[in-house]
Formats: sequence, C-alpha cells, structure tokens
Amino acid sequence: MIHRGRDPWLGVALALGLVLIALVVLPQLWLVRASLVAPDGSPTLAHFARFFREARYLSALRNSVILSLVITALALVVAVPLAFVHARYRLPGKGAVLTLAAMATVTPPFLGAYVWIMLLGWSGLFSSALRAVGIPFDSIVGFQGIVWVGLWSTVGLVFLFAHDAFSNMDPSLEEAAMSVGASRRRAYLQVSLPMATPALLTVGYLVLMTAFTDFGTPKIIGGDVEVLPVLVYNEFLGEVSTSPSMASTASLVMVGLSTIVLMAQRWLLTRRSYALPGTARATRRPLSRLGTVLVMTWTGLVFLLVFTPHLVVTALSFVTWTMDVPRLPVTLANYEALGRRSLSPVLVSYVLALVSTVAAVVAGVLVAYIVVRRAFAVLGPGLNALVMFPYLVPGTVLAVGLIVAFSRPPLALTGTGAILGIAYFIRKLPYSMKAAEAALYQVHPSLEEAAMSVGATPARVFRDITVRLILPGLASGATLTFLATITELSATIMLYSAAWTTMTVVIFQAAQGMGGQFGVASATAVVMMVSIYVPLYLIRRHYRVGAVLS
Amino acid sequence: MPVRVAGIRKQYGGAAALHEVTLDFPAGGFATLLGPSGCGKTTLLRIIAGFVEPDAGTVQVGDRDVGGEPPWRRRIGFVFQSYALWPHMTVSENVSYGLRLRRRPRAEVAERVRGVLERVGMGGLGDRHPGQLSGGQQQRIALARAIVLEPDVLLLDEPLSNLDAQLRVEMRREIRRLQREVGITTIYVTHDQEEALEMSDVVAVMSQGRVEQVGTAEGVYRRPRSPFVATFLGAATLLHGQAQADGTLLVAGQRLPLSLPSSLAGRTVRVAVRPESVSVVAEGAPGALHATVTECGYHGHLWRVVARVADGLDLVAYTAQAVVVGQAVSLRPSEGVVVEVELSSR
Repeated sequence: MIHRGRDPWLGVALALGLVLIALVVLPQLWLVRASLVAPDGSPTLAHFARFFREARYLSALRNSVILSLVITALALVVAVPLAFVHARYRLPGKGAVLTLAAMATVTPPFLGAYVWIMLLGWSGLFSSALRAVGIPFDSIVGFQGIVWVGLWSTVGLVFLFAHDAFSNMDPSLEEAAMSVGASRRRAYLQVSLPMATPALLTVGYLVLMTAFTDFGTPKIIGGDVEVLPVLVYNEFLGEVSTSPSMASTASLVMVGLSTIVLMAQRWLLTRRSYALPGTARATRRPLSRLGTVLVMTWTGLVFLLVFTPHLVVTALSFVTWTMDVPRLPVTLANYEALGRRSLSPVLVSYVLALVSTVAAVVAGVLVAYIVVRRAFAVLGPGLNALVMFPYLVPGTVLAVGLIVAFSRPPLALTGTGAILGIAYFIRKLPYSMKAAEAALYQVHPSLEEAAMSVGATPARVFRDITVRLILPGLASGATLTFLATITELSATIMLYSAAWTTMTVVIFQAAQGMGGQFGVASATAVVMMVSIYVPLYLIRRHYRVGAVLS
Repeated sequence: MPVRVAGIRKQYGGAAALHEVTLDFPAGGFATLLGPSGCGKTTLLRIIAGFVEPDAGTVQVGDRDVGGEPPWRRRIGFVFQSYALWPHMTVSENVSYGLRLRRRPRAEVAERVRGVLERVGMGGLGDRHPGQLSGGQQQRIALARAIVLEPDVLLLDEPLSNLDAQLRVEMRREIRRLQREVGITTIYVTHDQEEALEMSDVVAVMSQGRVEQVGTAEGVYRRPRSPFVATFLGAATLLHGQAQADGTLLVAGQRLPLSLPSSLAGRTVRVAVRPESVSVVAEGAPGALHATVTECGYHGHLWRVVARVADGLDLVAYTAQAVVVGQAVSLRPSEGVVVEVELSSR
C-alpha cells in the first residue's frame, strides 16, 4: 500500500464513517433507548418483559416465525425440482423461463397481495364465481393468504439460484458417482443435491428474511393475523392505543431474530461450502416428448400463478370501474385519470429512487474501494459493517428508528422527502456496495499501480482507471438499487406524507380499500411494472441476483 | 542513474519478507534479481517503485532519496507480469497517458508515442485496443508505456512469464536491445536462471529474503558462494567431503581431482561440481573413476547421465550419445567449487 500519511482515502473513509454513524447507528441507538426507558425517563426492562408475556406480542412473534418457515419450505419444494429439470434436461424456452424468473424476483410482493385479494377475497371475482357455481369458498384472507402470496412471490428467486447451482455443476462429479455404480437417480440425490446445498442455504435465507420482514402482504391479506412488521406499524401509527416503546421493543426483537438467522446461515455455509474445481457446466440431457409436455405444463402452471398479479392488474387497468366494481368496456380512462390527477406519485417515486440510487452508488463505490483496496485496520471493516448493518434491519424497523431520531429540531425531517431519501439510501447501500465490490475484485491492482508509476495521483487513478473499469458493474448495481427503491413499501408506508406519496403507497391504499381509486391504482401498478422491467431488460446480460445478495 | 537500496527490511504479519537488503545497481546497467518464488525479489522491486513501504531502509535514485516520495513522483517506470494495460484505452492512449498527465503539447505527445511504438516494433498499431493484441505485443506496449516517459529507472517484474517459450527467448533479446539503446538503469525480476544469465550485467541471487550473492552472470555461475546459488543457477552436484593437500576431495572413499585450493587441506567442505566439468573417459584414463550408470535421459542437444561411483556418491555428466542403464563407465571430474567450509573441522 502507499504512504498512509498522504493517502486522501483516509479522509474519505472518515467522512463516510461519520455520515453512516449519523444515519445508521444513531437511529438504532434511539430505538434501543426508546425500548429501555420508562415514561418517567428511568431505565426499565418492562417493555421487553411485556413483549414476552402478553399474548398479542407472542402471537405476532409466533405468526412471523411460522409463516416465514412455511413460505420458505413451500418455495423450496415448488422451485427446486423445477429448476433441476430445467438445468439438466433439454427443454424449449430456456431463455424465456429464466427471464420470467428474473422478472419475478424484482416484483414487490404487495402487488400479489393486492391482486389475490381482489380475486379470492370475500367479495373477490373468483370467490363470488365459485360460490355462484355452488363451491363454498369463503376467503383467502388470513394465514393461508399470506402463505399463498409469499410462496408465489419468492418462487422465482429460488428458481434462479437453484438453476444456477445445478447448471454450474461439473458433470464429472455425477459421472464419478455413476462410474462407481450409483444409478443416475442416486447420483442426483446423493451428489448433485448436496453439492447445491450452499446455494439453497443462501436462497433459503433470502426467502426466509423476505417473508419475515414483509409488511405489505400480511397487512393487506393477513386479516386478523398480525405479524411483527405489522405489529410495529400498528403500535407506531395505528388508530388506537399506540405505544412507540412497544414498537421499538418489537423492532429490536426483529433485528435480534434477523441477526440470529444470518449467523446460523453463515455457520451452516462454512460447514457446507465446497471448493468446486473447474468451470465445466452440466450437460443437458434429452427428455422424451411426453416428459417435455408434462414438464412444460408444470412450468407453465407455476409461472402462471407467479404472474397472475401482473396479468390481472394489467387487465384491470384497462376496464371501466364503477362503484369499485370492474366492468367492460375496455377503456384508457384509468390512464387518463392517472395522467390528469395522479401523476404526482409517479414523479415522487422516480425522483426519490433516482436521487437515492445516485447517492447509494457513489457512497457504495467509495466504501467498496476502501474495503477492497485499502488496508485500514479499523476503518475498513468498520465501514463494511456500517454499510451492511441495514441489510439486517427490516424496512419497518429502519423507518421507526429514523422517525425517533429525526423528529425534533434541528433535524426535524419527519414528513419530508429527505427522510424517505435517507431511508432508501441506507436500505439499498448494501446492494450498491456489494455490486461495486464485486466489480472491483475484477480489476487487478496492477492496473492502478501502472497508472501511479506513470505519474497519476490516487485521485487521478480512481477517476481515469478504476471508475472507468468498474462502470459496467456499477450500471447493473445502480439498476438493481433503482428497482429495489422504486418498489419499496415497508419503510415508505411509515415515512410518507401527502406531498410525498409514492406509487407503492397508492397501490397499497387501494389494496387496503382506501381511496377508492382501483382503476388509477391499477394503472399506477402497470406504470411501476414498466418502470422495473424495462431497466431489468436493459441490464439482462449482467443480471446476477446472487452476486449482489449472497 | 545509479540506484542504491540500503538496509531494507520488510515484514508481512510475523514473517520477514526481506532482511536488511543492501544492493547497488550501476547506472545504465541491466541488473537481475533472481530467486525462487517467495524469496522477496518482487517485494524489493515494489519497494523501489514505491508500491510497498519498507519497515526500514532507504532507496536512492542518483543522489535523490526517494523513500519519502509516493510512486507517482518517483520517475520510475514499471512493467508488470500481467502487462496491466488499461483495457478501456487504445494502445496510443495507454502509452500517452503519462505524457498527458504531464500536460505535454499535443504534437509532442503524438510524436513521442509514434517514436516509442516504432522503437518497440509496434508502429501502426496505435488504434488497437489491448484486447486485440497477443501477449507478446501487449508486453511491448507495456514497455513502451514505461519508457516513453524517459524515467530514471526501469523496473520489470517477471515480464515474460506469461509468454510461451519461444517468444520468451525472442523478447529477452528485444528487451536487452532496447535497454542498451535507451541506456536506462534497469532492474529485472525473474525466477528463470537462463533469462538472468543471458540478459544481465549484474545478477543478485536472492533466497528467503536475503541476497545470497551478487556478481556478473558468469562470475555467479562459475564461482557460486553457497550451496543454494550453485544449485539454483544451473545444475550442480553437491559433494560433501574432506579437502586434501593435493587438491582432491575425499568422499565415500574416493579421491576426486577437483583442483581445490590447498589452503583448505584437511577441512570438511561442500563442493559443487557442474555436469559439464565431468567427462566420460576411456577405461583406465588417469584420474578416472569407475561408476555404474543409474539414469540416462535425453535433453535434446545431449544426454544427461547419472552414474554411481560409490554408495553416497553419484555424479552427473552430459554425453553426446546415450548410455545403457547398468553399464559401467569411467568418469573424470575436473573442477569443483567450494561452496561451504565447515567451521568445526578436525
């Protein structure tokens, strides 16, 4: 490394550290304080005691844990065999299936909740139809609704990870098993599946955390079933008997559980990671005509359920809504109404997403550079931890922390666009940092040293060489950050104000039956889908969901 | 400009990479740091360039102590093993980058880039991108990028190790020719002894963070001063025995005529014998030793023969014809270099 004393990166690292401490650590400390202080200001453990004693909190905790586990298990059961078949057999439409799975991974789950409740809610389109033909279907609302929506919104992610793992497996491993007498099925079960466990553990963890921290789905379709993110929301912003202390306490319980799950996943991964030699890809075997038809039907059914929300919401955006009931004829009136009266949420979403994406990418690159290229003893690992910590904090919790920390002068940010921008920035910083880090590891340090040896200062090296070389990686990282930001609901719902209403809030309110703007909300949802799928298409060659998340 | 490093020490973690290294590199000369991987040669080169800060010691270029200067102010050219050409720039942009940083007039930049590309035999390829060039071409561009700035010193870190064998030999001569033309003080790191012997005015053999021996290529080859240097540079058989007053070495009950200095008579010594100083002679020739062939392998221009003179005494020789394993031969070693004298001698 170069001379410490005159390294400008030291100053950058310190400045970033301070900003992150103010935005990440302080709000969490305020949360801790709120959970440990009695109304009279004295320290107390009463809130935690109450949390672990009262039935309401315990049932929310139990609901959260059980729902997350059930959704994860079902998603693995549905997606892993399907991914295996697609990775190992010659089937038509490989590119299309992978594209659909990638699209599914960036779709916000609350969109599914919104549509499924319109289809299978008490007065849903399908429910009414089923009852009309004599099938006694009540409603999907409740536990089963959360599981149903959670399952179909995570199947795509599991499919992508598992497909990747099964495709990138050296075929000689199975051939070796068969050469010592294992049947093909035995080789699949005893060699291929275990070899894929690291990838499955990773995606299992991601699904578990997605389900555990999801606010929109249980709030929309959960009915009386309260889970922790919804509990935090209700305790903080509900109409009756709010308790910021209990919201903070529940928040910390969630952070604690997330941390335990992350540590468990890391521990399992270290025990089960295999150094895979070679880069050979698995060969794809032919499948009989009947087998192909069966598999493709099965695939079609799965993806039909995954994309039901997209199809339905698109259809509903083109029909006439009277008294909250969709009718023919087909019309563009909803889009006209959106353009005339309700364009503001679209603009707000774009402005916030763009600003926070730029900020997250710039900060992410700087942090990644310091972590990868500078051997700062404390600052490097410290910055890394500061950036990655929000990854563990559910959006709802993050929002509560920000409200508690920034609700009084001189930093009275509650209700402003700034607090939304800050929330998006720190929530998505881990993604842009990881993307930049991955890109930087591809740049050999000698490329930078070569520039120094011909007279470039560190700042010039960074500008002329490093940034130029990691630009493609940054572009895809920025796109993913943008997608995640424009679909953010759980923090947004706690932080937005009338002037700063986003597209996600409009859809959420319609799903809650508030606002009565189903037509416009459907049109908004279509605009949101276009906003995420067009950028996703542009970076499709670089899309590696695993590189950023795992 | 001459380069001097003095008292350089560097530790990584607890392990010492360099112990008190002091070396002089003459102005305009071609010096090689030669050693196995992990011997500290690249670390020393990177310390001279300023990429690595030493724990102790000084680096002087001419009269200038550059120890306190960052790499971008040292005026030291560096050529990397991986070429390190910037893939987002054309060949011309790569070569001109340093000149542009110095804000030279555009016409001068163009002229110097053209000149240096001609000089390395890459004229007309200025608009290509590095990815469109072969390994050898890329290394020529890397060389051009370093010398176009007319640095005080040129450092090369195993620049040929990524090339295939034939090109490597060609590039050695090319680099040496360029260095002679430009007259720049050059320090070259390699683990390839053939490269070091062919190219260098001065060879510094390094092992485990220390300089084992410094000298001309021929001097170091012919008069190695340690067992390590003898075996790392070329092939040598190490014999452990007692020096006799008549210049022979007594080993395994045999007297080998190795023309050892008489001053060592009676001492226990380690002697390096090069295969080329062992000849296969007619049975009964004076000084010949009886031996049995145990190995015979073809090396292209000659055969390498290993023969057992006695238990614990094998000699290696080169022959023009193959010899049958198990056959009896007569060997006559004619010269040995004492590489170690044991202190406790009887």
